[in-house]
Amino acid sequence: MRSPALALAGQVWQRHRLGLSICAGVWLAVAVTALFTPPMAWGPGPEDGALRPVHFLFLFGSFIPVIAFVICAFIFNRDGPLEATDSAFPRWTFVLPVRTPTLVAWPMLQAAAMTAGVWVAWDSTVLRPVGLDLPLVWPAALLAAVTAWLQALSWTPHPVPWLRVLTLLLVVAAVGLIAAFGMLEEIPDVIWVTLLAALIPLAYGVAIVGVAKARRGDTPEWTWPVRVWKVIRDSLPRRRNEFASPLEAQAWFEWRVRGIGIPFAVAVFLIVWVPIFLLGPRSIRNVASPETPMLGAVAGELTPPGLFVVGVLAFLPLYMGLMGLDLGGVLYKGQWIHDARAGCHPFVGVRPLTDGEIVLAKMRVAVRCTLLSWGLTFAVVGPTLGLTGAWRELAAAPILNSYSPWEVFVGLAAGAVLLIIFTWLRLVAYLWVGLSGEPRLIRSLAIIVNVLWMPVAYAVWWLLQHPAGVTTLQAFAVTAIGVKLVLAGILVRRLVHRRITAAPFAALCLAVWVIVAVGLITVVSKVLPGEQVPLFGVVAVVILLMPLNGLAAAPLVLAWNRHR
Amino acid sequence: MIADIPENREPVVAIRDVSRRFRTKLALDDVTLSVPRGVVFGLVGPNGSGKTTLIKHVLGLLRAQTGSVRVFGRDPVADPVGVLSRIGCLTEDNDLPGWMRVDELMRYMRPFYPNWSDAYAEELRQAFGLEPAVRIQELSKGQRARVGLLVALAYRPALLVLDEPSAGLDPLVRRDILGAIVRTIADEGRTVLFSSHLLDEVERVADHVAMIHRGRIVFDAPLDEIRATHRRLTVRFPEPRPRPPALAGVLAWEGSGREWSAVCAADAVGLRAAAEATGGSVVAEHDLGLNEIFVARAGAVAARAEV
Repeated sequence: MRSPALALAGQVWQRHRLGLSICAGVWLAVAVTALFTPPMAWGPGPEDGALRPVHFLFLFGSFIPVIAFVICAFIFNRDGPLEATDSAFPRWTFVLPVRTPTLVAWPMLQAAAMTAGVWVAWDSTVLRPVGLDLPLVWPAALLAAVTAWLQALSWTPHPVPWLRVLTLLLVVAAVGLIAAFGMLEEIPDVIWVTLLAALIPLAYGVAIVGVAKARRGDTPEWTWPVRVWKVIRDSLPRRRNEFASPLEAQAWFEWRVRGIGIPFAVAVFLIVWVPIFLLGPRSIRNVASPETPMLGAVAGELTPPGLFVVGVLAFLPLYMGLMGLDLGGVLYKGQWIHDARAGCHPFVGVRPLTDGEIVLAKMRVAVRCTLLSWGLTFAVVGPTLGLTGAWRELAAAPILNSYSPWEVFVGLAAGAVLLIIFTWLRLVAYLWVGLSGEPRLIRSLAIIVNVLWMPVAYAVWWLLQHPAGVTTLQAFAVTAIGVKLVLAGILVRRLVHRRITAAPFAALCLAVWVIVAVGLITVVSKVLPGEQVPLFGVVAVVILLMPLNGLAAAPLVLAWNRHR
Repeated sequence: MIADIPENREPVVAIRDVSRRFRTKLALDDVTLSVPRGVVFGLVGPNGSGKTTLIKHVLGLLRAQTGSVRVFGRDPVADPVGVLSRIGCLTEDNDLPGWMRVDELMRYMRPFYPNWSDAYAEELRQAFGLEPAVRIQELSKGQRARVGLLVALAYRPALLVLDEPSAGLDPLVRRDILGAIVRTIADEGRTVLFSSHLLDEVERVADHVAMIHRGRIVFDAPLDEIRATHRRLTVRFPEPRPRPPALAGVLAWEGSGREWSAVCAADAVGLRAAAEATGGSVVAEHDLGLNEIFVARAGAVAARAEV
């Protein structure tokens, strides 16, 4: 590689060759699937060309993750944390005998070509064959322009920590608006593409100035926001009491490092949720159309505000599963995870605690996170329903008509308790992933949890459309339940055998698990209409979603990771 | 009179036939090592020789793939509480949580160690000039090392483990660390295991030194014995020689022409006779510092490996 230009161009490929190869593999797989699957196999859909579930699957399940990865690779997000003030441009290149415009030009050109190319590839070989006719040229130009601006901002030093994250979010939000505008207004492609293309040289200029500043160490610094933040931070209550036990001390550590962000994120979700709730009933009525009979039936039983409340109540357990990946982490002890190596951080590893106690400390933090998150949710949902008057519509829901007020009260109380326990179980179910100390596993599981549920949900939906599919689904569910229970037996036996837990305690935990599962099945089957959702489906979903093996595996995985 | 209980005769750390492989790299190769009670045990070796891997086995952070590791007679993997509550450790990275304040860290550490002494911790904090309300991330590297030392010493651990504690630190902090080692051994029965490649430091405080190179223990003996057995002999030959003679016990030769100097680890009298048998005469004999011994030993191992 004799040319500096080639060397610069090759750095992204050398660093991300595995990820980029996987992206290419995903494209090939979905393109072949789209090409060779007959259109009728994608299931029923409206005749007017509106979006079918399969379109969401190909758009969000494959294109979005791939394009996100490509953009992240080209903004060099692994060379510097984006929340920091420093440039994310690789520092080692600053000492190369190359002018700044050349240094900047190659990754920008590559990124523009690559992102535009990804769109063209998906649009022509994936989306069009499955019947989603989206424009070819202007989205490609839009992606190229957006990537150029994301690069320019990422490589420009910012005066305050986290300011860059804000500016990047603004760019992403602007993209959404531009895309919406482009789809609604029929602007000629030539004008549209010219306007977008003009943004790229502008971003190039910003990037040159930014990288040149970073190269000469000219990072601007606003000290006042940092001073204000320090005053706020120092005025927050501090831990001044002694810890009664090592377990309590460890739980405090885990709370400060990983727990505190969970209720914080729930609060952010609730801030977003309230305006959606206020605008929501109309959209619910639109969505719950005859084409979606199940959703329509549930909305009819619960009323639109009721469906929204159910949506909020379902959010926490689902979200907690994702947060559990981080709560179980042992790779770092307070700073960002960027440079964390595989394994167990020595600060945690050398604490005189058993593996079981370290897991227990995390479980205690999970209790605190769960209670605080639900406390926040109830504190926001209750007043919102009361102040908007939506509680009247909620109370008049057909599903409640057949029960006395006393039964409704008991049912809601029992449902709330079960939901809290279920949320905690979801949070601790994925502790084992973080406890493994394997960054690749953590990242892969995060992608799987985020993305793979879509094809699975789609497959279930597709199978439910066909009588033979329902039988297949039932057989699959029975097999999955069997595998889950057998694996649980093996893990519990190993826990007892290694003396990580006592046999009576393991039996007690299993009994509690059964009680919660039965309770959830009872409540869910009462809430959902029986003619649409059979009891077997409820039982299968609850048993498969109720964490069991993850819990049992957590101390075993930590023991492996801590003493490799 | 204190009864000579069996535990007191046992070494604090007993490593037997331990090998460790990371994928294709053999990091420890059949290592057997014993750290006696009440000594300062220096573990020396070049970068990547296996010092940290060995210390991780002592702390239970790595499980022995073969052989056994016992600390205070216990397996650190099977009984982390029993072992780690008696060990104070300070590592090269000294990775303390930056968000914690000094007093928060002291409060956090206290419940883990039954022997934690508030008075001693406070004494150390004042001696090191650490403000209790300052966050660790706001401290200099040297001050962070002092915080690490504080929490490693405040419970008067029976074994102090220091993994490259002075790396990248200024002389003042290094002085504090050496002072801590001296303070620790001043308390009867306590032991220090420390790794370093700053050999002058090791030489100043260690009673016993083990050298590890490419995962193998090259030598392991009391420092006085090492000094006594390693000598530098300068041999003058009547005619210039392109290469020195091959003599048993010589670790390394330096020089050219008629005058060659040998670092040897053998009986100097016997070696003198052997050199004279090749036509040379010993014109000078010197004691060696640990640094010279280390360089000669490492070179000898490398030469053997090449052969």
